[in-house]
Amino acid sequence: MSVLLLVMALLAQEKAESDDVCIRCHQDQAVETANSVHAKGNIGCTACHGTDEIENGKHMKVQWFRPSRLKSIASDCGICHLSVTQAFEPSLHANFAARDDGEKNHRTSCSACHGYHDVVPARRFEILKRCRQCHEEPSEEYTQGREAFRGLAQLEQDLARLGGRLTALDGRPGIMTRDTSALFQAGTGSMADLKVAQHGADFGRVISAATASSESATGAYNTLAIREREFGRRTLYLVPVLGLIALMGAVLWFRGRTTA
Amino acid sequence: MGWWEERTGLGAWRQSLAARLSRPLPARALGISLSAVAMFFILVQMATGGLLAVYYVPSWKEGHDSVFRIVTEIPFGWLIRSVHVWAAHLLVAVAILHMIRGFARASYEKPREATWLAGVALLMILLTAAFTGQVLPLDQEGVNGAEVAAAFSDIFKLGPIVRGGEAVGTNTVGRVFAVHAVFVPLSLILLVAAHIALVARHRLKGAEHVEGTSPTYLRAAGMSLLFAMALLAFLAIVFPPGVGPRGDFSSGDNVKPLWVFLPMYQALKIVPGGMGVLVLTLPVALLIGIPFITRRRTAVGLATAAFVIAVALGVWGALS
Repeated sequence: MSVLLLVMALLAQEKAESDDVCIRCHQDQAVETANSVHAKGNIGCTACHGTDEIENGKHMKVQWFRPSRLKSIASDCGICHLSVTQAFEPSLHANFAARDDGEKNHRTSCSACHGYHDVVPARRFEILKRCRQCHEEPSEEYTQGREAFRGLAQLEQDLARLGGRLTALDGRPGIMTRDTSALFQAGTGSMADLKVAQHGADFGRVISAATASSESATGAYNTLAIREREFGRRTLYLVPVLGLIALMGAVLWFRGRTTA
Repeated sequence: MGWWEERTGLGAWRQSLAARLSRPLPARALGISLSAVAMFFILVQMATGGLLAVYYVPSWKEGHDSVFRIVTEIPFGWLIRSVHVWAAHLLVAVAILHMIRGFARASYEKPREATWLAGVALLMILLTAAFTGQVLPLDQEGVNGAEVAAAFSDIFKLGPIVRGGEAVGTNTVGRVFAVHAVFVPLSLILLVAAHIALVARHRLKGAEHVEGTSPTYLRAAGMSLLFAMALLAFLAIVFPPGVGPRGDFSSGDNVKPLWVFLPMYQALKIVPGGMGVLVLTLPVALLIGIPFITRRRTAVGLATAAFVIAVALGVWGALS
């Protein structure tokens, strides 16, 4: 009899390690997360909230479990996005978020731009809308931020253009690509770094670095175009070569005729 | 002139060579000049091959990169490689035409059997050169070629010797490079010398007793050579070949070999394994046997059948 009771108790107790268990009660959140990048990447509830034991529909809080609070979101995100939260940490935005003083304008943690359960990659225009909630449009902060996003978008575009050209030219004869490939690699690395660094809201640095990388990528693209154009002119070599051969042929032909 | 002449005797040698070359020839001197064109391409291959060897690195790791570097970075490297690749195609084509012409005029008949056999050996060496040359860039075609060669040698239990170990790698590349850049040119020099010496001994068929002075070989050969140069320059400058991505072992089932190997490729698809290798020895046996088939009609019949089958297999291989 006691064995049977124990089995029943074990059955009643569930372990929330999969989303199925969570969704039974938290259906709204399930709907919110459905289209998030986390859902697409198969990252479920427990990745952020931890696991817990549930008994009769109640959290027992015996395992590693956390209902995320605004104050601590950055550190929750940092479990996976460590470099981003490290860049975010020294910013004024992080400072406000950590205080969590109830002021709506101070809710400036990760979720402010990326959403809460509906986590999305922040798009330029959506972020700018968020920025305008606190920063007036012609203000210094707003303009700097906008320019930084513009610079990054421009860099992305320039790198894509350069990368496309490099792929098309890969293995083609007569056009050196090693130096421009190296510039492309450096640009891609710098792009990745800047995407992280922009979370620190040090937009002056982001703008200057993005502009420099953009210029370098554009320069590399132009260099390739010049090399392609120059290599295209190689058929001009045919003029002296074929001319000389024709001359020799003429000499051979007429001398042969006179001696025959 | 006097000083050099006294020491080298080059002038007298040149005169005797000129007299030999200006001997009357059978009516169609243009056809005979195919041999001069083939010789010209062989010399081009040696010169450009020597230049390519300066930068080529015979290593599994760096081989592909070094070809990539030759083609994209070294000044005029693309041109040298382009000439080498196009002259290889043209050389094999001209050698085959030269052989067909020799067969059509029954030039292999007594007492010229040895000349024909030297020619067959030359063709084999040229095919070896083409095959190994295709492996060296280590793109997908190259890696496939190395694998096919290793798989063949496995049939005769020679796989480890060809690979230079358990698997295709740097030791394989070293072997292929040594064959392509040392043994092939050495064999070519010896065999071409033998081939020409035999022609000089027996004179060209049908011209043993011809009198008269026209047309001279020098003029026909000169025109053919200039045409060959112009064609090579045009192809090499206008259509320089690039380098494919580095080859690997997993993804190369649909890669086709050089055009001259397409008949073998298709034959091996139909008859795989040891049986296929046996089938491949048949055309070689026929080429060697031709001078010893006494009835001309039998030789023509067999050779024509073999040629038609080879072309059909080649076309099939190219289209499949």
